[in-house]
Amino acid sequence: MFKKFKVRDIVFLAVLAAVNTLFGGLAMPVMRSEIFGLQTLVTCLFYALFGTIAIMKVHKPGTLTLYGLFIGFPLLFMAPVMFFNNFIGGLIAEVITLAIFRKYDEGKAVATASSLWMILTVPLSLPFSIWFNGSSFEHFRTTAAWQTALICVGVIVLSVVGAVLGLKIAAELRKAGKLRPSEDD
Amino acid sequence: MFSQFHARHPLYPLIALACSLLSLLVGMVCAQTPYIFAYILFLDVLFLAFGMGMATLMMNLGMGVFGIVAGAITALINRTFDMFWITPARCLLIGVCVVPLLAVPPAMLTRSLNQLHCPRLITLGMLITVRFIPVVFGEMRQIKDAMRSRGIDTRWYSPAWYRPSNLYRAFLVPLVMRMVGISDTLSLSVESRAFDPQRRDATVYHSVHPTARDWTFATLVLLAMAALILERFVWDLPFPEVKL
Repeated sequence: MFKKFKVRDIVFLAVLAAVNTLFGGLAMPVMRSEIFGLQTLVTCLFYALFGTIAIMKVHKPGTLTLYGLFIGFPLLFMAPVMFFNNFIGGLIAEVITLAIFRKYDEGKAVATASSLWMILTVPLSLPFSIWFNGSSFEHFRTTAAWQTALICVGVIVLSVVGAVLGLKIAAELRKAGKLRPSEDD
Repeated sequence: MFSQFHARHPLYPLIALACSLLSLLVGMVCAQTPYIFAYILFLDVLFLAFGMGMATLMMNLGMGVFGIVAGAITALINRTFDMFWITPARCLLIGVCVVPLLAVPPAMLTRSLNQLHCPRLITLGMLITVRFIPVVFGEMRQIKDAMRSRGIDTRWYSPAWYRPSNLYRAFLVPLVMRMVGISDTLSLSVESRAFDPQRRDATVYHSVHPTARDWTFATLVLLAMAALILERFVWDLPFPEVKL
């Protein structure tokens, strides 16, 4: 089940993580927003999209965890808590996906992993939001319950859309011979 | 990235990382006390003394202004200025606590991870991610220029820029293709330089070791954290009232 990562796998994941980090900058204007999960809502489409492309190229268990680690590394210098958010989100999403599908051979396994990664960062960002904004758990449970529910639905929808777009781009590039899975090398 | 913030004599990266994470964690947990400003001030002075002046000043200025604006908006929404100080304090705290990490060049962190026999593929990936952010930014700019030359208005307020077909066909697809090309060239370059991911005993050209200066820094940060925890949970000192 587990396959060794080659240098070219790691380099591809790292370069794509740099792209993803730049798209993560879209969340900067809403970073201080007290609306729970808004930061994830803004970026989840692109994270799921590039996450899907990453797994489509590197079809190996552990890809999403490594990808989360690489994305989290630059964030470590800016917002250390976000590092854990991305890394742990990737790890849990990967464990759940591999428990269901065993491997990344099918497109739906890839889409599930990358969209689940973003969806999982929402509950994972709860402690971060409590520390950062000074809100309490009660705040999310009562006052802003409808807001939280709406954002969660938005994150789920956008993550799935991002993952499907990622699959579409990957399929196009594969057809053009530009994105060969690393196992075929 | 952030090279202007790097200290001339950076701290030992893992000590900087631990101090950054712990001071932020403790600060956030104890942020309800007004003495949080004394904690921030102490960290500021400490960072200045340890040669992290540029990063300290910029983060204080940036996060301070940001915090005041955000706090004012929050206070206007809540129609009370009673707890106005909490938002700027939290923003300042986030800005100040990342200073030790900002002042450390990422290469030093990967070197110390290499010395600790962290898998070389992971340290390579981390380093590439940080180093390639400006490269990717340049590539995005080139793709935008190419879009403009084909008649697409790429100004941020232009509706054409946000049209899904333009964004997908003219921006995302070329971007991913370019990234595939760059990563293929880079991996060939890494392999041709005899990079062996299996060799954990490879020489680290500039080895990094903690010094007495690093341990002094860590001790002072720990003392500040201990004082804040004691004030918040044990002493609970009254805050002197300011009479105008």
